[in-house]
Order: sequence, then structure tokens, then C-alpha cells
Amino acid sequence: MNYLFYPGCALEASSPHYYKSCRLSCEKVGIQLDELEDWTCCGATAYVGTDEVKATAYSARNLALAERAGATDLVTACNACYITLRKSDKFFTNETMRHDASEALQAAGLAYDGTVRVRHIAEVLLNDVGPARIKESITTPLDGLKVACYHGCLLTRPFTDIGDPEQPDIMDRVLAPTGAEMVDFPATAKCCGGMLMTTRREVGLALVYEILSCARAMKADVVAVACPLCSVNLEAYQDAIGQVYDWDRPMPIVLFTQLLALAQGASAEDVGLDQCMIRPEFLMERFA
Amino acid sequence: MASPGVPLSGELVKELERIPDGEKIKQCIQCGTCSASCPTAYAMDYTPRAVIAAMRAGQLEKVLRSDTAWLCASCYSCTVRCPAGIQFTDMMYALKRLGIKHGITPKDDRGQKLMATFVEDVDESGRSSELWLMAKYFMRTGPQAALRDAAFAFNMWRNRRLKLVPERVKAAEQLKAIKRALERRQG
Amino acid sequence: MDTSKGNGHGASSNGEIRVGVYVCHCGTNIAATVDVAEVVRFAEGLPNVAVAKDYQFMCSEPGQELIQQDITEHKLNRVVVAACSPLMHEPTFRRACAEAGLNPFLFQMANIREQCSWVTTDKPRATEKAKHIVRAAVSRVALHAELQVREVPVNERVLIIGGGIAGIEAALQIADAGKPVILVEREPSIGGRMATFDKTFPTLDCAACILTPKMVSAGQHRNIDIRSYAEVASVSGHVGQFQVSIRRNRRYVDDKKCNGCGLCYQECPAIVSPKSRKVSIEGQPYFVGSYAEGGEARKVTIRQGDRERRKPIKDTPTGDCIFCGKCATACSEVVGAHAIVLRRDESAEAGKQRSLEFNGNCIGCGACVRECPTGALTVTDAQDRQVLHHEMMLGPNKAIRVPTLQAVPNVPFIDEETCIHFRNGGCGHCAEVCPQEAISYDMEEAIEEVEVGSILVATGFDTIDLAPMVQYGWGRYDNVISGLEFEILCHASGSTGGKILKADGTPPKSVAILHCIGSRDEHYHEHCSRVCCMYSLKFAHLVREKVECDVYEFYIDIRAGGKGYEEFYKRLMREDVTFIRGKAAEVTNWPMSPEEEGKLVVKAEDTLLGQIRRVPVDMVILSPALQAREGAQTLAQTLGIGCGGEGFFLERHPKLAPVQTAADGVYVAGACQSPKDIPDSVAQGAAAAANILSLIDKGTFSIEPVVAVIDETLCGGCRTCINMCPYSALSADEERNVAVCESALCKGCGTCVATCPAGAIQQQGYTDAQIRAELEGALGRLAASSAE
Repeated sequence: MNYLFYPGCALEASSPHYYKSCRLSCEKVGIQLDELEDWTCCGATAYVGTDEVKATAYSARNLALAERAGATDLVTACNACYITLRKSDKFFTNETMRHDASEALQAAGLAYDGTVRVRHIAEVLLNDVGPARIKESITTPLDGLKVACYHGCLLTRPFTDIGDPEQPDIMDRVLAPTGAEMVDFPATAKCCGGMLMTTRREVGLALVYEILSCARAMKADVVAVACPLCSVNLEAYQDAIGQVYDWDRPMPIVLFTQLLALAQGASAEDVGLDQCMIRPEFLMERFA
Repeated sequence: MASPGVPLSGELVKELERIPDGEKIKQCIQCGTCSASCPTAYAMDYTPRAVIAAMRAGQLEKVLRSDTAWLCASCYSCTVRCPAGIQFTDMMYALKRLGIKHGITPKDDRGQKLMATFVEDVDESGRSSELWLMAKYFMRTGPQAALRDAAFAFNMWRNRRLKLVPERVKAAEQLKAIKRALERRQG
Repeated sequence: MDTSKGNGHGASSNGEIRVGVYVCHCGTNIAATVDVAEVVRFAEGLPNVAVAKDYQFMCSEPGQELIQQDITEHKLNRVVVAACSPLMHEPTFRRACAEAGLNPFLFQMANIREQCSWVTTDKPRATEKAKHIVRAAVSRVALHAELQVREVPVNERVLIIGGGIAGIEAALQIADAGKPVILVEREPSIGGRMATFDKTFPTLDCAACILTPKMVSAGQHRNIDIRSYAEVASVSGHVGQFQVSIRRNRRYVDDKKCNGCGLCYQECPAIVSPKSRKVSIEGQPYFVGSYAEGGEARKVTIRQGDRERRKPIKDTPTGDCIFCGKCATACSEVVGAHAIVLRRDESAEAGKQRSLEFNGNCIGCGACVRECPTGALTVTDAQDRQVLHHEMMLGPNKAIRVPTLQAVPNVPFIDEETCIHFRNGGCGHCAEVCPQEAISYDMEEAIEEVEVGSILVATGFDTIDLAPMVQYGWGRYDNVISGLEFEILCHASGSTGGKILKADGTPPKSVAILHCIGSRDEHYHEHCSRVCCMYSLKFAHLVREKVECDVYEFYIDIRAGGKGYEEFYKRLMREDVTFIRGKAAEVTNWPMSPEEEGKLVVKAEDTLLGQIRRVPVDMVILSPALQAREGAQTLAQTLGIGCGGEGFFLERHPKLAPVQTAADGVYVAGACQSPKDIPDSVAQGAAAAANILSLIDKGTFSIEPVVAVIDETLCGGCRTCINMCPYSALSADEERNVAVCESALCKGCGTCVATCPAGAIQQQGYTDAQIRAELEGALGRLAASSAE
């Protein structure tokens, strides 16, 4: 099965190991990801804060391209892209917003009729592939590994149709067939702070510390994430957190697709475990 | 510039009426669920609940001068929990827009600056490049923070997670056309 | 007043119609806007009008006398009063006509106030409109026929559904007045929610002390028949004469034979809720079979042992197994599970020759524990919790049990899920020990038919399911408990004997009470649950009375509007309870600082400070929203009453008829109508009793003749009308193949009239001819019929 894929700026630049493992794990369950030709930045959270119409028009350019390519689904692996594209799609249901944004798209020879469904790769793996087929693809189970699945805030908020807004379990259900133990993780949908890590470092650190301390309290070996932005925020600042809070044992952060691909027989190198800033040494040895 | 608070409150309510359930702002019971659900409220001058109280008191300008809206990380915790169904996250965005529109600079303008830099960047190339975004941002906010983040950048580069040459969208003309159309709309 | 006979004027000997028209000034209400004199002049010129007059206040005594005089003097056989809404004074004028010997249905009201003078200041146009309205009435009244009010006899017997405090109160009031009551209760005992409470606000008197005397009185009253463990299956008939089917669930204990000795539950080997249980011997755990099946470790909990053993497990000796094999015998012979095998190993060293082996056949009944003479064998929670807040009960925790030791009736029931007999066909111990031979495992469900004249619904409330509100951690974190769970924890007859203990068996040092969980919340219930503020204050008092402990109340507003309630609030402030004005947003269990280690953390905004607070506590009590009972909608349909938006039963009028419903003869009381505390529930129970006694005392119920009548010669038997009738008043006469209308149920809505494809149905007082005449009168040009 083929899906049209929207990588987004972060996946492309700062998380090549996510993109790589995404493709790998999808291939093992018979999914091919075709990148959307000449996509533009989704606008993230910045555009909405300046101009709603502009935000909608820019990000809807991608939806228009997907529609023109004949796709019904546009799949992304980034929580921020997922939510931004979905919001643009939703704004097209508002009469005035659609009118203004359509006008702008028309100027560029584009149009969007609202037929594209924006989806997240984790949810595609859960709902379109399903645990049974994932189970069939597992060759080297992750027995003994304790995983805290961190969903982040935007995967099920404000759009709650794919999971619980407080305690989503999409990743848990995708990874359960790998044989790893999914620890109870109440902080799964807490916010990583997003851009605040840059603009208000002390606040960003506090947010990440709350998530990491929960993972520690639940005795997780690794935290699995489903978003390149969450991934960077959770792993890149653990030193800084140690300078402010009681945090001396760094927690490895991996992309959930890395774990899935490992269980499907890929090697540590294949999935880019060496690109994790806090290397999960035990996994690198096990899957060398 | 610097409109008095009362018209600002009216403008905010009007702005919110454009979004689904936006008018529910009027039904706030001041329970504070939003504030306590917000991961950053502890650092805000006005907690989310207090923003609504300030709006009712005609003191929105003070809120816009504070760092409140720019501390919102847009995690939607307040929105999904609010017992009155208020779309609080969307209101934070509306506050950001309102501040920019009226030329009100918040006391800590780093968030506003980062956003402006991001928008310029994407406007130009159609893609966001972390490295160049940071570089431009730090030029605007002072070099101390840049030094602090050099370690971060090095770490990213070491792990092959930093692209030195930013990507550009091929259909640059399309973007320009969209931009022009939007500018025409705004007059 | 005798309304059944007219004076013959209705169809005067020569068939002449003589209408009297009376136009009311209503002070200035009408006269200031409508030219009354002009309307009178106009009316005088209308066909059939014998006399037309105006008067200051037609509804006054002289006004009524004016009409009555004219009826005699002018031989009037029709009367029209042009005044206010018929809702106000139609009964007044009907009565006046009847007293003068005129059938009251030959009267017609023309509303020239609400529909005319009050809606405009334009006098000429108001006057014109008043003329139209009067002409409409005059032309319709000519076609009126004499109608008779039907009186149906009222059966004295009363059905009360729900044996909580509201139902008990009503039952006692009615029974004390000498009328028979059937009290149907779904649970095995009456007493309702109140029976599970320890203390009551704001006076803090013991709930049992004030409730049990009433429960016992109800149980012993010669006029009250209690049907517990039973439900209303169906209701037919109408006010005065309802036929009710009561389904009596399988209790397996004959209430006529049982003398309440309690031997059965003392002897029963099966302990309730075995799901998360493990049997352990000398510290070695053996998980019981059903634990693995359930696999829901988060949700399930139990409490060990029978009543005697209801104490922390630490107190029971371990390591004392003498390998007597009693447990294995019990398991094989009593239970029939063969899950424990006693092995003999001759080659082993002395004293170790025997060993016990557990296998997967274990059903987790606990019979082995009961037989163990040394206490070496224990049943504990799989997660080693000492107190299991979600699973506590007030009575013996056996498969056969009574809900509380003060149960009324004091007749046990068997819980099939736990009972060994119903799980594997074994045991049968209770039936063997019962001296009365009251227990029978093949008891069937029974249906009992009763006839009653009125029905009171007092089915109480449910609390909202807390599991979906994951942010508060109920069902996920130990020591997060609901309000009702706290009541049982606190109750002297509860599993801990009223001690307030955490899951690990130690008392808490700090407790947070969270208000408004699911109330005042669009995502759950918009309404305020009304009782939570006060019981939360009560909880704070009880906690501080029993444990040295900090108590925090997280509230939005303290609603203390009842008698003595505000004073109670002040008292709790004096008792050093910490009030934090802010709704708690979440409860977490991982520490962010050393003082949060091992605690639950409640996060809320202290809205008075504008500060976010993280308060570490040992126990969290949630105050869940009160909601309508599950199944309320079905019961409402059975009874022909309505449910409001939130699912509570709908009263006839929120202020003026709070215990009556849309269905005549059906009443509501207590929290099934909206969240209510004990004083209000009792007041409503008593109010409903008074309503019912007044109906019984009158002996008959008058049924308005504005009902559907079916012309059987036109009815084709298509049954379209039967399906459309919202009041189930129509049914099919199979033999004659026609529809028939039960006028006692008909509310005169007219749906069937409009539906009938054959035009076979007419509504008395609203016949097609009458409505047509009224329309012609209202719509025709004035010039056409006015005396120009």
C-alpha cells in the first residue's frame, strides 16, 4: 500500500533517523511512503500567531498539492505538522476563512476542495495496519525492554478523534506486539515546551523535567517519541536539566519507529540509533 | 496605537466569535482548571484564568504587555479540560495577533521575535531551517544566548542532525503569488 | 357541583341558539387598549347573540352573577366571555355556568388580553382584532355540544418505586393514613444511598440512627408490602387503575421461610470479588485462576477474609503450615475445584515430607483459607494492598449475604458471580446449614401482577463514572477514592470499622477533597450536583475527627444555601480545614521534589492568589457529579412521563407542581427528579404522599371530555393512529377490527385526528366543524357579518 507522505522541515533536517526508521518499519508491513513533491513548511505554531488566513493558505498549499496528486490521505510523522495541517483543513470548513484562503491559493494556480485526510504515521500503523499485522512482522522481539511511550500534546489535542486527549495509547498499541513492556506513563501527553526551549529556556527545562522524571519514576529504560520536535527537546537538554534539577542519569530518547524497526529485524545502524543524542547503548549492543 | 483596554476586550471577543465555540469565553466561571492544566502558567504574569478576568475588567492591554500569551506552548491542555468549553488555546493565538496588530510589545519580546524570524524565513524559502532560524534569532536577541546554544548546535551537528544548506521550495513563484494575494486582501 | 347534567338549554326545545357575550375591562388591562363598548356593540349584531354586555371585572363575584342571571333571564344556552387566557379563568366561568344549570362545555373563552390588548398600544387595531376574536368564539360556540366530565374511581393501593429515604418517607405517610403501599426496591434491602452514609450534614447525626427506625417501621408496617430485589417490569391502565407487573429477581432465598439468622453467610466459604486475589502460603504467592483472566490489575481490588478476619493481614500468623490438608479437602470436597493437592514425599527429611501444590483449577473462592486452622494460608490482594477502597462493603463479604446487617427485609441473597455453586455446581453449604430450608438454587424469576391507583417514582441517583476522567487517577492510583467509597470507608460497619486508612493500611497525614468532578462541566454534566459542597465539608470534618491530618478542599464556589449550611461551612473553617479556591485539574503520582516523594500531587490554581499550586497529599477524595439513574429513560417510557435534558424525571411544573408529572396519577420525589439532599428528598416524599392521599381521599379522578372519539363506522382498522398516540391511549379491538380510545389516558393532543386517513376520529370540543367555524369567524372580513 502506498501513502503520500509529508515529512516537514524538522524530520528532513534534524531527525533523519526518524525518517529512515519510518520508511523501514513501514516497508516491513507493506507500506511505501511517497514524499509529497515540493512541499512547503506547514507554518508550525508561528503563522497562526501572526495571521490566521496566511497560516491557512500557506499550509493548505500542501493539501492542494496532495489533492492534485489524487491522494485521499496525507501522512505526516511530526505532531506539529499533523496538527497544523489538520487545522488548515478544518478552517476550510469555515465560510469566510475558506473564501480568503482560496483566493490566495487561486493566485498561485491552486485550489483545495477539502478532500484530503491528514493523518499521523502512528495512527496509520495502528488503524490501517493493526497490531495483528505488526505482530506478524516481528522477528527479533524486544523482550525485557521497558518503554515509556511519550505521545506529546498535539497528537490527540485538540482533535480527539484518534485517541484520548489525556492518556492516548496509540503508540503503546503499536509497540506492544514488539514484546517490549509498555510502562504506565501518566505524563504521556504533557507538553515538551516546543519553541519555549529557545525563547524561555528555564520554562522549557521545567516541562521536560516533568516528563522525564515521570519516565524515571515508572522505571522506563527508554522513552519512545513520535515527533521530531519532541525528540530534540527531550534529549538535547538533559545536561542543562541536570544543572537545575535532580537529574543525573540521562534517559535515552528514541523514535517509536526505531524500536519497531529493530523488532522487525533491522540493525542499530539501519535505524540510526547512533544519531540519538543520548545513545541507548544496551540497544546498540543488542542490535549491533 | 495603544488603544484603551475596553475596546481591546470587545475586539478580542469579536475575533473569537469567528472560531467555533469562540463565544463561550463569556461563560467562564473562573475555576482555574485552565491555569492548573497549563504547563507554563506558573511562569505567566497573568494565568490563563486571570486573562479572562482582566478582559472582563477592561485591562487587556496590560495582558498584552505581559509575557502571558508568549508563554503559551499551544499544548491545548486548557482547551480539552475547560468545563465551560472555552477554546483557550485559540484565544492565546488571538492575543498574539492582537498585540502585533496594535503594535504592543510584550515585556519579554523573545517569543515575538522568534516568531517573526520564523515567518520571514518561511516566507522567503518555503521551508524552515533550524540553523538559519537560530542564527537570525540570536542576532536579534543578543549573542549571550547564542553562546549558550553553541553546545546544542555542535551536539546536533555531531549527530548528523543539522543541515548547513537550507532547503528551498522549487515553486518559489507560487509562494510569492500567495503572499501577494494576501497582501492585496489586507490592502 | 354536578356537571353531569345540563338544564336542557343545550338543545332548546325549538333548537334556537341563544348566545350571551360578556366583554371584560380587566381594569385597564383591556379597556385601555380595546374600545370595550365598541366590541359589545359589534357582538350584539352577531348571529345567535341574544345579549352582549361589558363589565369591569367579569371574574369577580358580581361579574359571574351577571352571567348567571342572564342565563335564566335571557334563556341563554351558550356563553362567551371575552377576557383573559383560558388558562386563567376558564375554570371560573365554567363553574359559574354549571351553577346556573348550563353544561359547562357550552361556554367559550375569547382571549382579548394576552393575545390582543397586551401586545399592542394601537387602540383602533386592537379593537378590530378583539372583534375578530369575539366573532370566532361566537361562531364556534354555536356548534358546541353538551359534554360530560368522566369520573374514574381511584384504587387506594399505592405503588412506590424506590426504597430510599424519599420513598420510605412517602410510604410511611401513606401507610399511616391507613392506605396500602407496595414498596418496590431494586436492591436486596431498602434504605437506598442514605444507608451507606456514616454521618449526615450539617448536623452530623448518624445516618443509621435516623434512618434505621424508619426502615424498620416500613418493614413492620401492616400497610406496607416491601418487594425488595425486584423491579417494575411493565405498567398499563391509567390514573386510579394501573396494572403493574413486578419482576422479582432470583434471590435464591425464600423470604417467607427465612428468619434472618445469618447462619448462611457465616458459613459461606466464598469471598466476594476474587479477581485480583492471590492465595499465599508461607509467603509464596499463587495467583488464582480468575486473576489471570481478568488481567485488569488497575481496576480490581479485594478485601480478604470473612468478618472475623477483616483485619490487616499482618496480624495473622504465617509460616505455621502443619500440612494438615484441610485446605485440600475443602477445595476438593466442598468446592469441587481440586486445585490444591497435598503431596507426600517419603524420601525427604523429617518434617518436610509433605508439600502443598496449587494448580490452575483454582477459582479463587477462598474456601481453603476459611478451613486453615493455623492461619498459614491467606488470601491477599495481588498488589499487597491492605485496604481496597473500591471494593469495600458494609455487610458480610460472602457470596450469600445481606447488604448491611440492618437490612430490611433481613433476607440474604446469593451473588451468582461469586457463589461456588453457580460457578462449578459444587458447594451447596448454605442450603445445608439453613435451619429453615429457605435456600433453593433453582429459584426462578417471578412476575407478580398488582393493581394500584397511583404511582410514586423515587428511584434516586447514580454518580458519574470516574474512570474516563483519567486526569484524576481514580482506578489508576491507589488512594484516589470517590465520595461514596469514602462514606463506606468511614462507616462503622465498613471493612475498616470506620478507620480512615490508605491502601497500605496506614492512616493518611493529608487528604485532598476535590469538588465538582463532572459537575458544572460541559464535557460531563452542566448542572451543579448541589450536595457535593456540603458532603465534602462533612468529609473534611470526619477526616479531622478521626485522623491527625491536614485537609484541603479544592472548590470553585462553596454553595451552602440550606438551613444551617453556611454555619457548617464557617465551622469547618474554624476547624482549620484549608480551602483552596480553584478546581483541581489533575492528580499525579510522580514526584517533582523531595516533599512529593511517595505522595499524590493535586494540581490547581489558587485563583485568589493567581498562583499554581502543587499540593502533595496521601489521599484524594473525588466528589463525583450526581446523575440520573441508568435506565431512567426506560422507566419514564414505561410510566408515560418525561425526562429532562440531563436525564432526570420531569416534573409537571418546576415551581407549582414539583412532585406531579405529565401523567395523571404518577408522581416523583427525591433525587430522581434532580440532585437533592436528605431534607429536600424527605420533603418531596412527604409532599408526594400528600398529593396521593388527596387523590385517594377524593376517591375519583375527573377526566376532561376533551378526548378523541372514534366513529367505528368509518374506522378501517389501519392502526396508523395507534402508533402515533404519544400517550398509549389507543389500542386495536381485534375482533371488530377498529381502533378504540381509552379516554382516561387521552390527553386531547389531536395527533390521531390529524393522522387518521379515513377521518374517523374527532376530538370532542375540537371537532372539525367547530374549528372551521372558529377560523371563519377569526379570518373573515368584519364587514361581511358586522351590522354596518
